[in-house]
Amino acid sequence: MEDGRSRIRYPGRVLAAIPAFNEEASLRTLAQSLAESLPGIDVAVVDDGSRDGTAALARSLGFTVISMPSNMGVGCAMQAAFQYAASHGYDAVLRLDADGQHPPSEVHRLFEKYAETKADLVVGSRYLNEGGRVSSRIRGLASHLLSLFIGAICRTQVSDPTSGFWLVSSPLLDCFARDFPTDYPEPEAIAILHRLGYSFAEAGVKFRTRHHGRSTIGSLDAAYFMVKVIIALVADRVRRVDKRDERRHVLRAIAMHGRGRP
Amino acid sequence: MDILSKRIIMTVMSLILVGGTLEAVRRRSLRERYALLWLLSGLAVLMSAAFPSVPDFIARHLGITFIEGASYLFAFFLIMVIFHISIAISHLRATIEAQARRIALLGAEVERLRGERGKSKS
Repeated sequence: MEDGRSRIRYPGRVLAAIPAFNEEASLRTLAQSLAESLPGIDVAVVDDGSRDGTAALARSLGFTVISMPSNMGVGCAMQAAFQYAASHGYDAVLRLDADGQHPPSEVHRLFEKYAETKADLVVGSRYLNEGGRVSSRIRGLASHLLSLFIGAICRTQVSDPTSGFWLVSSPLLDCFARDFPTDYPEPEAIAILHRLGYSFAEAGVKFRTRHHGRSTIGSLDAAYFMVKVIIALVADRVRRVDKRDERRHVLRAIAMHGRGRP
Repeated sequence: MDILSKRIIMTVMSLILVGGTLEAVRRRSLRERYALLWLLSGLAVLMSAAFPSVPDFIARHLGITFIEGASYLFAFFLIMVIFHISIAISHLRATIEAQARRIALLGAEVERLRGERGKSKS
């Protein structure tokens, strides 16, 4: 019995990394859809100091659990996942949110986009295709303004700068293991990519309404969030680039010392 | 001290503060989330140097008339101290994050080794 999904072509060894903070309620549903859409994929849950049973449940589901000693924020948690992936020889990290808004059934679109473009970072975008779901007017507007701003910095179209639905391949994975923005990781990381020589592509995906919990960004906070992100982006822009993070330097470091060495 | 030299001192102070903040952010000594406060206070001092009627108005309504010059100096000193602390906190945060990741990864490794040992025993 073979459906279309089981013929998914993986871009090498892929680690599904799931940052989770108090996501016990939605983790089981996510595990089911992972088993259906991406059977056999290695999964690492980064438990970011949850107070509920997230870590224990993830362990019982057979996932690798990386437990942060306290709540450090999603950027810090993801960097731990990148370090794990680099030192365990994974070719790519697939980032999924634990709340279920990144459906595993849409992952094949990221893989296809990677096969087509070989982009170091493939982002699943809600807004690239028609019929994309905008959670609210204000959030939609804030997200749109932000994408215009990042687009101007990167000189490419970035339709969904706050999406966390990512496929990160080596050597970018190894770069992120060394250095990953912690304040507003998604837009900041995208904005720095082209200065470091990495490529970027977007794949149109459908997000699902989250199973449980709320977004970390409420409608009312959206405008304030946007201002803070833009300040962070301007700060990133005027900073000197760390040469060791550049694509050719990371490639050379991997060739000389192997992977997973900070 | 005449009013013009006061205004010049205030301008220089605020330029040092704003310039110092921008340079610290650029060198990654200060995180942008802590920088906003310092930029705003620098700009506030600059504004009051440019339009002295504003602080005068506030001072009149608060009843402040004396030790004015000394308080400016004292305020500047305090500001420098707190600025130093902000930079220290930014460094500290980066260190703690690196340590948290290390702990988390070591924990995962210990779990994996335990699992392997459990399998080989049984």
